Amino acid sequence: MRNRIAKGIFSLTGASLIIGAAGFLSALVTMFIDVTASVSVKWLIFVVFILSSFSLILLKIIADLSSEKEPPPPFEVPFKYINESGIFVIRRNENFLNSIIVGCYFQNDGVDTLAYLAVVHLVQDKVIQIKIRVDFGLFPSGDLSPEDLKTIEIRPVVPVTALEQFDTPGVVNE
Amino acid sequence: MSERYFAKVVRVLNSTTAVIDAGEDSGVKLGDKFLLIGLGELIVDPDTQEELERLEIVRGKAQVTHVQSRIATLQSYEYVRTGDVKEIKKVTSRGVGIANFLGPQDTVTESISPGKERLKDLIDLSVGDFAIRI
Repeated sequence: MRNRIAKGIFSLTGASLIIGAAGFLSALVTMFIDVTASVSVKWLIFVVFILSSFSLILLKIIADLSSEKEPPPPFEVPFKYINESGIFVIRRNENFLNSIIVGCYFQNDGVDTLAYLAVVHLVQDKVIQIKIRVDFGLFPSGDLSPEDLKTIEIRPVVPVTALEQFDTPGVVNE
Repeated sequence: MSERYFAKVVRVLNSTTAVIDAGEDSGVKLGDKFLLIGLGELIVDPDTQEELERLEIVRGKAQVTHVQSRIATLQSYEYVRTGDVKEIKKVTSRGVGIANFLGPQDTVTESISPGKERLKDLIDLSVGDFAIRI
C-alpha cells in the first residue's frame, strides 16, 4: 500500500496535478487578492490553523491507507516436502483455513494439471502444512525435489469432479 | 511456554490416552478438545534464509475425559475404520423327490460385515509434546 501511494504521488500524473493546482492557486491569488496589502496577525494565525488542521486530516487518511493490508496471493508454491508423511509446507496465507480441501496443480508450459488433492493439515504462526489425501500419479517417484516443488501451485480451489475422490469425512480409512 | 501451546504432555498412559499439565485451575473443562503436537525440524525460508519456526508434527486430536485441579486426562476422539468384508458362500445341494430331477441346486449367500471402528492412535506421542486448544 505504501508503494502504491508513493507511486501515485511521484508519477507523471501526480506531478501534473501538483503543478496544475499550484498554478490555479497562484492565478486566483493574483486575480482577486492584493498581494502588497498587509494582513493582521489574527487572520494569519487563522489561516495557518485551518491549513494545519487540513494537513493533519490528510496525513491521517494517508496513514490509514498505508496500514491497509494487501490481499494475500490466491496460491502458494510449496518450499518443502516431507516425504514420510506426505506433507507440503507453504508460507502462511489467510486464504488457507484449517481443514479445507485444496488442489495441488502441476504447472507445465502454462497448463495446469491437478496432481494432488490435499487438506490444510495444520496452520502454524508462519507456515502451513498441507497433507496429501489423493495422488493422481503425476509424480510417480513420490519423492519431490526442490525443482519439482517449484512447478507446483497450491490453491484453495478444487474441481467438483475431483471431490468425488474423497471418502466420508470424519472417519479416516485405514 | 508460548501462548500457542496451552499445556505440555506429562504422561502417556497408552496409545490413545495421555495426561497434560493443565487442569481446572487453568480453565480446562470436561470435553475440551486439544491438538497434540511435537516439535520437529526448524523451517528456513529458502528465498530469504529467514528462520521461520519449528515444524509442528501432529500426534492427534484428543478430548478431556477427566479433569483434576492441575492435570487433565485426554483421550483420542478420532476414529479409524477398517474396510468392509464381503463374503460370498456357494453351497451346492441335491434336492429330494421331484426336486432331484432338476439337478443340483446352488445356494449363494452373500454377506457384508461392516468394518470395525476404533479410536485412532496418538501417533508417536511422548512426554514433552504440546497441547494446543482447538
